This record gives sequence, structure tokens and C-alpha cells, in this order.
Amino acid sequence: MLKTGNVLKIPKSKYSKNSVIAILYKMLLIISGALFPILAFIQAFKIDRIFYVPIVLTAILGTILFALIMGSKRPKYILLLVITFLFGLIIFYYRNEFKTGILSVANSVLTVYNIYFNENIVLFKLEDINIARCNTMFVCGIVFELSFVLVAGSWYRVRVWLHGVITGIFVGIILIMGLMPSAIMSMLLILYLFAVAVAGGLNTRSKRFIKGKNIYVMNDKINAKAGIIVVSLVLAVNILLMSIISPVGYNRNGILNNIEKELDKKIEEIKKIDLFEGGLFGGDKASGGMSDGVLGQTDTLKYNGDSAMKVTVPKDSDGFYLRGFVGGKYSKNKWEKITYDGESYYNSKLSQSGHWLSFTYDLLRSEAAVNEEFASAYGKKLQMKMIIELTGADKEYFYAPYFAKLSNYFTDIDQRVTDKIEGQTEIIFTDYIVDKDYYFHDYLIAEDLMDNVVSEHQSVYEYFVKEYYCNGWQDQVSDDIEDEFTPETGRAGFSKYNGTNLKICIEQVKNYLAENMEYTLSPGKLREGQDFLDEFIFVKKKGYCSYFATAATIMFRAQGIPARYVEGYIITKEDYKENVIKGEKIEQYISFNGDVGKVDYVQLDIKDYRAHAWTEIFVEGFGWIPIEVTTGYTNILEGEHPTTAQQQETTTKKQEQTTTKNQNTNPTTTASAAKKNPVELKDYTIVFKVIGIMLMVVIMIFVMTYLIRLRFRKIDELLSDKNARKTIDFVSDRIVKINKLMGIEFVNTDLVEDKARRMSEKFGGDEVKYITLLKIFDKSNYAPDETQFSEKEKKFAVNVLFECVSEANKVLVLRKKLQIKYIYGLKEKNSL
Amino acid sequence: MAIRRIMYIIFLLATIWIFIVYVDYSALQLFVSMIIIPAILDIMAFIASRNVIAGLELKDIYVVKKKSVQLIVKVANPSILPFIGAMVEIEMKDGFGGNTVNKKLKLNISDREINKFYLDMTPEYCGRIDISIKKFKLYDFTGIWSFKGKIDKMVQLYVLPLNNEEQINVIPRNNEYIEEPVKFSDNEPGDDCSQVFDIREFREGDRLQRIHWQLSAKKDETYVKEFSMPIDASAEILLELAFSSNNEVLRNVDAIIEKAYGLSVAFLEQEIYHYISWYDCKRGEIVRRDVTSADDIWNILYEIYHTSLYEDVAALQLYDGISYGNGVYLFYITTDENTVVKYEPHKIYVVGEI
Repeated sequence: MLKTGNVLKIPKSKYSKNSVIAILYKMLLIISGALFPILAFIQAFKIDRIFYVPIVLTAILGTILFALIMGSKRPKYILLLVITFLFGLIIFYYRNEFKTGILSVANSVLTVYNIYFNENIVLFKLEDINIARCNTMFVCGIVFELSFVLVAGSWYRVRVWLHGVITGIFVGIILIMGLMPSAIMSMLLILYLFAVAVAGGLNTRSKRFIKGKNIYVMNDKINAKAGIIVVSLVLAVNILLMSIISPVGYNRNGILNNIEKELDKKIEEIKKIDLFEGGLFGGDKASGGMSDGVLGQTDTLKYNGDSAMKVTVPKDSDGFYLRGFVGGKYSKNKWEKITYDGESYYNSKLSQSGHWLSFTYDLLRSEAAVNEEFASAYGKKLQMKMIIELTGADKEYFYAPYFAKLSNYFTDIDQRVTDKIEGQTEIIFTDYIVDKDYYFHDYLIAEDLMDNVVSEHQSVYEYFVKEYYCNGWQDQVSDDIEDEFTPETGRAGFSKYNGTNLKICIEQVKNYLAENMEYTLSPGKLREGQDFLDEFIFVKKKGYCSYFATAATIMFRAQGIPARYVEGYIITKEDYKENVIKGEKIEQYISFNGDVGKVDYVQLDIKDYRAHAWTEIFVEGFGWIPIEVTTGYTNILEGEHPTTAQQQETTTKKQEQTTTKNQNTNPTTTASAAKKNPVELKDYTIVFKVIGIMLMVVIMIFVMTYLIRLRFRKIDELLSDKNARKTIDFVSDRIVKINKLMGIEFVNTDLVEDKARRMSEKFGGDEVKYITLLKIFDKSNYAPDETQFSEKEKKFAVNVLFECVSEANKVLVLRKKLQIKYIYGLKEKNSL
Repeated sequence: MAIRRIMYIIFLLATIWIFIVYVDYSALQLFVSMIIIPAILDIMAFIASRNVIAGLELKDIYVVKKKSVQLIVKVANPSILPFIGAMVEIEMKDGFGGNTVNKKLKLNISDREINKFYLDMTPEYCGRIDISIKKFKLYDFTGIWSFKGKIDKMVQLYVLPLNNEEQINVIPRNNEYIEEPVKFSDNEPGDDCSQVFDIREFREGDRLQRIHWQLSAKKDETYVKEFSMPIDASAEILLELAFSSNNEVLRNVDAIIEKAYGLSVAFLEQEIYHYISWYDCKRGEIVRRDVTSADDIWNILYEIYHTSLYEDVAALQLYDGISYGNGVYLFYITTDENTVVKYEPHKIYVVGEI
């Protein structure tokens, strides 16, 4: 009855369409295959100083290039594909950068091998060239060649084994060496694994074929859709997983993971050459401690050693804090800049009490809080001058030392901003190099004098400070932070400020930070959606000045001491030694009590690495006092000099800032921080970038697909329009365009028969058909508007158009086919 | 699927090993992902598969043999999930119970639509083909688990024989045959109204046209006329639908049916009243049908296609027991040239693969 063998055949007309979504899914799969294992390798072996942008771009562009060549199916293009691949290999072999890159990467692997297997294999000697560039070029080369292999092996049929082998090699090396990819990298690899599982093997061999007793009828589009669903699911599960079982609480002191700590040190050793200058696409620019109150956006602080400002200051001084940005309220990952508007409430209150005008500005600068008369009763108070000329520093801010008094020149706020930018700023300030006990004594400062000397507006200001910079701190932080820092009941064990224990409170904050936190210029970027403070206190436990200052500000507020976050520059004793431009003996000083004397001034060049962040606390009677909480720094205004270790830290800060990894801080803090070494998070941001780019690509693809569909739908409507003449006009237009693509162009003098003959030669078929068609067109072109066309004529024209499209698609090159499809909007008709 | 299961187990074991050795967050993540994700996919596929139904449709239920006919496998998936793997096992069984062909169709199924898969099939022999879906499995996204889908009823395809024109002159029409007066059977009534065979009392089921009104009026009872059967001018084609000794059962049955069909068509063209007979083993008797038009042939073929083959019996031997009169030209079609017969047919056609 039925013949055995090819009993069932699959009609050729079905399932022969390529789907855009399937092609793009395949491309994403290939890009992922060329990228994720490599990124995991880079991350696991800590091959840093590498530029991720060119690597990602290479994967994308390489895949697109090879896919375009592969998609054309023609032998000459396949040859081109192979030549491109070989060309890549040749460059690979002859370029010096690649060799150095290979050796550099090999060194990373060997280092791990030596540690893990307790061997002592000598590392390769690297040439004195830019390692970052070499590493990047080498990895780009690998990614490029991998794109070729994957495109060649996956374009017509996704071969799971090929993807498996490539990923297996890289992941295998990582695992054998006792390392693990990070959580995000693992997520991407799992994602890729499932995406391949959906796309490959059984399900996408080809569109249709018979093998043995099995008949395969496959539609890649469905696989692509399923793939997107699976990938989304994997993403959701992993993100959920990471939020439920947070890396924070996960014990990773595994039997193999100690190797990572060793690895960090070893890799530093082999990277003796510091050539991180600009790079291929430029690294992060130096931002110093100045970040407009935005927190956690810098992976690693880097400095160029450029000049930030030129400052003329009294010669005999321990140094200065030059306050720039002042943060008011804390908001998850930034400090809100204090604005005039933001304090309108208090302004109105002040204006009611008659102290509004000059005080508005002082509210920000806060110097009005210092009662000169009161202050003059204590210690040495000299009125001095400072001239600041901004060179590289952010001109948005007005940099001034503490206890500065504004000259008349700056009374107008707007003028202050303008003049400050253009020229030099001259500031009169009061040099309070006084006994620290003035504000650190254990009794309420000047309580006995308060009634006499504290003015009314000062008391209003103090009320404002308490309200704005202290109360309600709990609303700005997470519950965990609140539980940690609440005085007396919190885990940190802080005391509550009662007016007499200021010194104890400050010590508690300093000690907490010194014991638990580690100083580093490479804390890594803040993870998306995370609270900066939570991340610093509970997760990273390391950071630079902004981290310490932020934490301390909240701690002080928790204790009941008004505090605020400040960014600016510091002038240290080292600047007097190293960065002197010229010395001047010019100015006199005038003390409050009328003494006049001469002061030697000196002009210093303040470099970008002097950018700093610190905390101010408000001491009643004195106003804002800077408190240095960053480990290794010392409070310049207090006149305290660093301990030997601390001094070492301060003097070597410059080197530290350029070598990025050397966390040679206070030994005590390093040791204590090492005990609670958290999970490494710094590379996560790169991965998010990659995901972001991919998501953007996917979104673009969806939008494009939607627009193309819309266009096709519109043309379908046009072809079935009730007005036959409209359809015929459209067909006429498209026939002319397809004729052009086929190399047929008519002139008006051509006879219909000639035209038909030429069309018949190109498209095949009977001349009569084309004569009829052209006559319909002529009728449409020349007949009066009211002339009607029959449904039969319309159908005939449309059918001939699709026949022509079909014939043209057989002979035209890919580019012209795409032109017919996507520009003219004509798909081949499905023949049943 | 077996390969995928093995691969999954290998992966799972690897992740367990990594989880034990590498006490790392990533290891935990990998381990949990390898368990949770396939499980979720499995549940999703299970829920979606409950409403998926597969069925068959034929573009034409009658087809001449060696001509192609389109079989449409329809899989309705109302769920929002597509299936990247589905297996439809189609069983094609011939009506005589001689042969079964199974084909597996590996498909992927789009969501929220009725997926149609077109297959061209070309039957080689005439007969009835019962086409049904034997198995319908839906795989989850990873291809590790499978679920049974719902199956719709089967379809039947009737493959018609070819008309071989060379058979048109096989009937022994000589002058003698034509010139002889028409003879009617003495034993059996027929449909030839020119000769009354008998008059009898009306029985239920008799046609009203056959009532003998005059006689009925006289006797006050209803009588009907029975017409005679013209045995001289009739032919009879007897099909031996027996299992053949060799393996070419279908080929042989096809040859018999085709021969019979050819003869019947030829008789019709020559306007010869004839019969087609075969042995119905279920009823245990010879079935005899007269052929007066092409429609009769189709109806007879339909009946033959629903009959079963038999063994250890020869229709010709049983035929001997029926008395049709002596004037019938019997054309016996068999595949067995050694059939022992009591009744000598006028012509024996030995067809098929012997």
C-alpha cells in the first residue's frame, strides 16, 4: 500500500523562510560564545589592565562580519571568510603586542599554577611595552578568531559540541587551577549554556530533512523565541538567587579560595611596568576626592599628577583644608548638594528674626557661626590672606579654608561665581592654629560665655544645623545601618552625645573605621541598586576618603552630633616641601587684638591627588570643624602630626594612588580588614555593561523587526486595496524598481512588445503576459482618472509582480534581494 | 532525548563536584541553577502541554495510487509557550492488516496557533490506509523531560486502482455470444424487467413498482412480480483476496483489485451486466454485487477495502456451492496458480508476484 522508504516527502514550498529573529538569536549566541568564556578567564585569572570595550566590540563586529560573509553562501565569500581568518592569524603571529600579550596572560596562569601546585616555574620576561594594550590586543585577537570558528560552526546548524569544547577549555583551565568565575560570570555562563541547549542539537539541524525513520521539520524562529524565554528565566532565577543568598553572607573560605589572595599579590609583582597611560580607549580619568557628592561611581581612583590649583598661603603652617563641595542629606548613593532653595524654610525663619540678609550666604559657608569675639578669647588668632588660582580643579566650587571671612569683593553671590572662575580668589581667613582642647574639651564649650556672646542669629543657625544635619538621619539610611549605629543599643556600641563627651564620640567613630575598614583606591564600583553605605560597611569594608567620610558623617549624626560631608583639597606639609612655586614676603598680618606683623607667604602647586573628602562636625560656639576619619590621614587643623606609620602612608599616597592595588595602609587596619575579607565585587560592573549593551542590541532588534512588520503589513494592504487602480499604480512602481535591479530600463519610445521581450528574457515566461501587464500599466498611466480597473486586472498585475520578485530572488545578489525585501517591502509569496 | 538526559546528569554531577570542592558563591549558584532552572522549565512545559492537541487531516480521502496526496499534521498549541521539541509518531496501517509503516516527525511548535505540517505521501498500492498518531510527545526546553500530548482521531485514505487500458479486450465477445438469445436463470431472480421470473406474495421491502396490480385486484392480496436474471449476457469477476504464500501480500492484493477494476470498467464500457464477488471471511460467505454504473464500482471497492484477507480457504471452492446458472462467465482473479478448483471458471487471471 505504502512504499517503504521515502513515503513521506516534505513540500519544498513550506518552511523555507529565514527568520530575522532566528538569525539574530544565533548571532547573540555566537557573540556570547566568543565573549563569555574569555571574560570568565580574564576575571578568574585577574588579568586586569585590560580594556573591555574593544573586546566586546571585537566580538560583535567579528560576528557580524563573518555572519554576513557566511550568509551569502557563495564559494568566493567562503574563501573570503577563510582569508580573513588567516589574515587574523598572520597579524597575530607577527605583531609584537600579541606575543607580549600571550606571555603576559601565560604569566598569570603560571603564577596560579605555581601557587596551586607549589611549583616554582620561572615566569616569562615581558618587554618594556604597554602591557594593558598587549593584553587587550591579544584577547581581541582570540575573540576575533573564536567568532570565526563559531560562525563557521553554527551558522547553518548550531553545533552544541563546538560551543561545549570552546567553553570547556576555558572553564576547565579556570577550574583546574583552583579558581572560580565570579557570580556574575557564572550567571552569564549558565545563561549561555541554556541558550545553546535550546538552540542546538536535536532542534535546529536545518529547516527540513528526512533521516532514517525520522522526519525533521524545524522552524528556527520558534527556537529563538524559546531561547529568549529560557534566557530570561535563567537571568531572573540567578538574580533572585543572588538577592536571596547574598554573597555577603556566604562563607567563601573554601579549601581552594585562599589562592586568590596570594594571586593578587603575585600578579602585582609581575606587573612591574606601569604603562597605564591613556590606553586604547582611555582609562578612567582622575576624579580625586571630588565627585560632586556622587558616590561609588569610580572603580579605581587614578591620578595624573596634574595641577589642580595654585595657592598662595602663609609659609609656616601645618596645612589647610580647602572646602569645596558640601553635602547635606544622604541619599543612597549620593550627597545632596546644599542649595539656597533647599533651605528656604530656615531662611524664612531667619528673616522673621531679622537676621536674614548676610546670613543666607553664611548659612552655606557657615562661618557666621563662629563668633569672632568669642573665638578671640582663646589662643592665637591671626587674620591672614590666601590667594587661590584654579588650574585643574572643578571651577564649580568655591574653595576656601576654614574660618574664612569673605572679602567685600565676594559679597554678591553671582559675582562670586563668575569672578572666581576667571581670576584668582582672594580670601581673608582666620588662622586658628590653636590648642585642640578648644573644641575637644570635655565640658560644654563656652557655656559660661554663651549668654553673652552668642548672638540671636547664631542660635537660630544652631537650631537649623541640628535639624538639618543631625535629626532624622534614620530616614536617610537603611535599617541595617540604623541598627548598627544607633547609640547605646546599636551593634557599633556608640555613645550618645550629651554635650560633654564630644571627644569620646569622635574617638569611637575613628576607632570603628580604623578597626573595621581598609583603605584602598580600588574599592570597585557600587553595584546597581545598592546602597553605598551598606556596601561599604557590610560588604566591601574598604574604600577611599569618600567612603570613610560618608560613613563617619552618618555615624556622627547617629550620635547626635550635627555633621556633614565635604569634598575639597588639602594642603599638607609635603606640599611645602615638594610643590613650592615661589616664596614671597609680602603681607602683614593683623591679629584681633590689633597686633600687626609680617608673614612669609609661599605659592604652592596643589596637585590633583590632593583632592580629598572629609567630615565636618558642628561644635556650638565654634561652628564647623573638620574631622579626619580616613585611615592614615591626620587632621591638619588639629596640628596633629602623623605617627611614623601614618606619615609613611601620607607621603606615599601619591605612589599608592598611581599603583592602584598597593593597600599599604595602617597595618592594624589591614590585618583586621583581612579577617573579614568580603567577596570580590569589583568586576561586576563590567559584566553589567556587557549585559546592558546586549539588551540594547536586543531592544533595537525588536524595534526594527516591528517596524519592518508594519511596513510589510502596509504593503499587503496596498496590494489588496479595494481601489484596483491604486494597487496597479503601486505594482507599476515596484515593477519599474525590480526592472532596474535586473538591469532593465525603459525609455518612452520603446514599444510595448520590445519591453515585454526584454522582461521575458530576464524574468522568463511568455511575452504575452508582459504585454498584457504593460498595457494595464499604460492604461493606468494615461487613462482618465475615472477609468475603472477590474478585479481581474488587479489580480493579474499582482501575480506577475510576485512572479517577477520570485525570479529576481533567484538571480540577484544578496544585497539586491534585501533591497527588494526590506526597501521595497516585497516578500516572496508563499506558494501552497 | 537520552543523550540530553545523560548530558544533563554529567553536568549535574560536575556542578555537585564543583560545589563540594570549590566552596564559592558561584559554585552554589551553578549548583542551584542546574537544579532549579530545568525544574521550572519542566513545570512550565508540563502546564503548557496539557492543552496541546495533535491531529491529522487529509486534503483528499480518495487518491489514485502512485499519485501524491497531502497529509496535514495539525498541532494546536493554545498556550503562550512554544515547544522546541515535539515528536509525532504517525502510524500508517493498511486496511488488509498486512503492513504497518511508522514515521516519526520531529517538530517544533509555535505558541498560540495551530501549527500545520504538510507532508506529501504517495501510496504504492490500492487499498485502505488507516493513518493515526500513535505517539505524541512534547519536550521541555532543555529536551530532558517529555510529556504526552492529546491525540485526535485517525483518518482513512482510500487508494483507488489504476485503470489499465490493455484489459479492455479481455472479455470473450465472439459472434456466437452476441447472437445467442438471452437466457435467464432458472434458479435466481434478477433485475431484467423484460422477463418475469416469478409472481409471489408481497413481502416487506419489496419495491412498489413491482406490485402486480391486476393480480392483486383479482385476488384481493398484494402480489409482486420477480424479474429474471439474464445469465447469458452477464459476467462475474471473482476476487481471491487470500494471503499469499510469499511476503508480497499488498502487491498481490493490489494486483487483484486492479485487475478486477480494469475488467469491471471494461465491462461497463461494453455495457455488459456483470457482478463482482469476493469471499467475506467474517460473514463466511461469498459477497456478490452487481455493477451497473461507475458508482457501483466505487461502492464495491469501499466494501472490499473494509474486508479482511483470509487463508486456508479459496473463494473459488466456495463458489462452487452457489448456483447462479450456467450462463455466467466467471473471471477468476487469483495470485495462486495452483488453486484447486471444483468449478471451472471461464478465465483465470493469475496476477501479482508469484
